[in-house]
Amino acid sequence: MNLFTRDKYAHAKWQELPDDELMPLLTHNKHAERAFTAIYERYGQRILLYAVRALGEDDGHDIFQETFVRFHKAATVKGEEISNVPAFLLTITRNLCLNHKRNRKDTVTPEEFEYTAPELVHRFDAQLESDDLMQHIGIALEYLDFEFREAFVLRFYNDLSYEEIAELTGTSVSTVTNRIWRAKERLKKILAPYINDIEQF
Amino acid sequence: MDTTFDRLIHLYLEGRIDAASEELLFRELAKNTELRREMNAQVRLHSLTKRDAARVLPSERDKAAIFGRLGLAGAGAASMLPSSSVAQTLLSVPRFAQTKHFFRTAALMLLSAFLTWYFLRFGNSADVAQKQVTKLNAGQSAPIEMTMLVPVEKRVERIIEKEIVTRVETRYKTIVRYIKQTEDMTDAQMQLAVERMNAGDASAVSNNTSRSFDNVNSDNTHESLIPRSPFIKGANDLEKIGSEQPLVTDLEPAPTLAFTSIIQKPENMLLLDSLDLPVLPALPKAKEFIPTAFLSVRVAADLSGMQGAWQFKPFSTAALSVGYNWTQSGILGLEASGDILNRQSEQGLSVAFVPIASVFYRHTLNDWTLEIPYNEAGIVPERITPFVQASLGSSGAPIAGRLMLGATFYGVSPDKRRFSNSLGIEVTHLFAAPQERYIPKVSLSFSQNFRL
Repeated sequence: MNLFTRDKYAHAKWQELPDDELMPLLTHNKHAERAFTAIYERYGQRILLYAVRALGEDDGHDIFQETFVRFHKAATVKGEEISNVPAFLLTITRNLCLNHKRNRKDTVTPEEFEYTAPELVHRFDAQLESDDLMQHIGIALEYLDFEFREAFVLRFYNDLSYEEIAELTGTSVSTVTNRIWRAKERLKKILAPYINDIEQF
Repeated sequence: MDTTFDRLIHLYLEGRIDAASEELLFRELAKNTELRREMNAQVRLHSLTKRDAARVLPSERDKAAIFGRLGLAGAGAASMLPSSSVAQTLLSVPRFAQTKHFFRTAALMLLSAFLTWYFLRFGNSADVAQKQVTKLNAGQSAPIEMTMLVPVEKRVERIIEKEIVTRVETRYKTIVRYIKQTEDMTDAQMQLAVERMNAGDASAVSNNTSRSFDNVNSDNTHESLIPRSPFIKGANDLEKIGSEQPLVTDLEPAPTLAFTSIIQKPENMLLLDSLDLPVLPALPKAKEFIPTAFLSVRVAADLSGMQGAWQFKPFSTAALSVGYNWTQSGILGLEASGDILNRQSEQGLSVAFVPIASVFYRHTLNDWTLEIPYNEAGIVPERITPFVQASLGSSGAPIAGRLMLGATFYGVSPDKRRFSNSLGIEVTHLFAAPQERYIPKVSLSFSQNFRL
């Protein structure tokens, strides 16, 4: 190593470096950890939101952790070219969620998603252990079919556009629009008794 | 209510409504109270999701798990770990073993253990010993090496008529003695001395040999000289000779061989022994104990960091100590160390480097010594002795306490005791003011000891 070469990242503001500058540093001896930390802190919440709201608290955290481990391995061990980091991360998360959902499918009865609104409200009330209204939405989401829940989460939690959701899920924009609307309709029914208690912006 | 207008509200809030539909929607909103309530509900739902999204954040546990699995340290996260218990630490060992820190630490310990083994095995080799002999006997003729058999008692339990009886049996081991040549001794005279010695006349060599180096055979020192062997070397010969001699004397002292006359003249001659049989000498008796000082270089790895492997600090303690074997089992010493400790203050958790000067007492549990038979490959230590060590010191105002439980690995014969390793678990605590509390640290300690 040339001792006289100036290390341009020695005093870098890591959170301000763009993704395409951070990615090559993941294999750098000295800066790999800081580069990975910057990416983790930049996209960690988005990925966790998707995983937790798509699969629930417990499984969501496991999927979240696995996502970043796989991302790191893909970028360092496999040497994959990753041009769009958030899309890559979301794709990993989504695939893990789908696999997870497929593996536990037998434990969830299809009828669970066919409850009428009053039944759902009744079950919902029974499940709530806290008065914290913020918990309502998370629990309510678990009563939606995965496709509807996923579209809703990607739109309202991850702030993806309809076109981006369609590309990620491999469907059309009209399908995405329909899924988001149906998810919203069902959530409104489940949360109807509480909706007036929620403060506006 | 017409769900078409509900959907138009949704499209409006999402910014995906066309101008005509928007005009239609607002015309309806102006006259329909229920539709306004519906719009209000959708806005509240949007609000709820935004607020919910803001409160879902990755936890430190998530970060620790990810960085730990990847073997990364987690920049700037060290201060987030709460105090830990020993149980939590031990439970995190399997996860920690997957990180690169584990391999680094293990490699360091292996290197140190290898160096100790190397010095044990080669540090005082025959060549070195021979040079010492020559140096001590400077100006005199080179000593003659001879091999002889020495009886060693061994208590054996045997079943005799359904009763277990302990009796003393005698085995033989070979030892090597160096016989000093006097300047006026001719080859013929020397040969004669050897033959006379083999024939049983100890006086033939009484003035020409020095003391046996080891007191380790003191339990087996016998009253009179009864030579058993001709001038031979090698285990095969030993077995042959042994089989021709009466080896067992039931319940009576074994035939003995004493080197009283040999031991009488130790002034200027170094004597070397080599034990060919897997018979380990006994621990020295207290009256034969010789005080020795030793220097110890110690490093310790903070095990509490294993709960979040990215926080693992492989050298959280570095220490240099000087000890003195005050008694057979007690060691007193002084230690200077640098410790990295987690500190809890009003500003939160932080990491502090703390220099500590302390006095320690180490109690060696000799009765619990584990002896390992001599291994031809020489890759195992020959004796492992556990110890307990307590330290009390200071780092400015705070009082520092340390408790260690460990074991020392060392060679059996005195010439191999120059180097040894100690491995242990230690708990370090700094007793400071309540507003600036130090979190107790559990560490894996490893030290390299040098006898001075």
